[in-house]
Amino acid sequence: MEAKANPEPEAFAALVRRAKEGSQGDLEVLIGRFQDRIAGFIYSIVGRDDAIEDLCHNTFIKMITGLPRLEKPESFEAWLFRIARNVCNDFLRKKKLWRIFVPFEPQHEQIASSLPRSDSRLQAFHTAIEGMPANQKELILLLGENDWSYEQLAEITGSSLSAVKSRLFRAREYLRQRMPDDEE
Amino acid sequence: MKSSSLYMEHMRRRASTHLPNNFARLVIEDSKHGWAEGIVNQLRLVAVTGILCVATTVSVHWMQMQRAQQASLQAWAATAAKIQVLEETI
Repeated sequence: MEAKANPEPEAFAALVRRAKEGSQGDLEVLIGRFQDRIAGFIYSIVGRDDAIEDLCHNTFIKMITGLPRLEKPESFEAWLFRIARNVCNDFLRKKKLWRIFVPFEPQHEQIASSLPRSDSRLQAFHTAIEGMPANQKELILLLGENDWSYEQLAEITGSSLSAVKSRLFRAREYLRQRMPDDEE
Repeated sequence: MKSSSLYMEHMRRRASTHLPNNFARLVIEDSKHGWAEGIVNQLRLVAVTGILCVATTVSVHWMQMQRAQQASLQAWAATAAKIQVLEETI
């Protein structure tokens, strides 16, 4: 996977600490390091490319304002993804309300059309996760994004460890039924 | 490679094209202005809430005063009527 954000945990924690103390340069480095991963995660959750920039922007603004209160710099990555997840959920909640008045907009589903048609594996994976409950889907997407531990997944999703384990078990079963040849 | 990793790589590649080149700097700039704007907005909200509270208090007080005045007038009219009846009988 291309984007491992913190290959050297100590140097990374020091970077977070400096950003936390107000170093603009380090803050910029930190945002630059995570912006593509956060953008990808947001896109996979909301499925609309017209919302990516705004939601990324909100996520990083919340990161900047919340950074002084972050107690453990080592848990920065999970904390940031938690912010992004909450920003996405707020956006989807508002859109859900809006869809009562506007039942369908073509931009509601953009991922399917963005996937390469020749890649049947990606198409099948997309169809499979679209049929999943949202709380299982987000775990599968997060694990596709990074090798998070169960504890980190629990931290990001604000769930208990046992809830994460059982959701992941069900999600993997679901995927196994739909994509039997996949190594997910 | 897992399908989910491939999928997320595709998401990342596609989503990153929607961010401007100077994204990090823009966010930092906005966070500085946003802080000042946030305070101004909060002050505005406090001012509007204060005005609404005062207006509500004044109008409720005015309505109560009107009601009390009307009740006193009615009571006074009744008493005056009784006095008149008494005076006539005397």
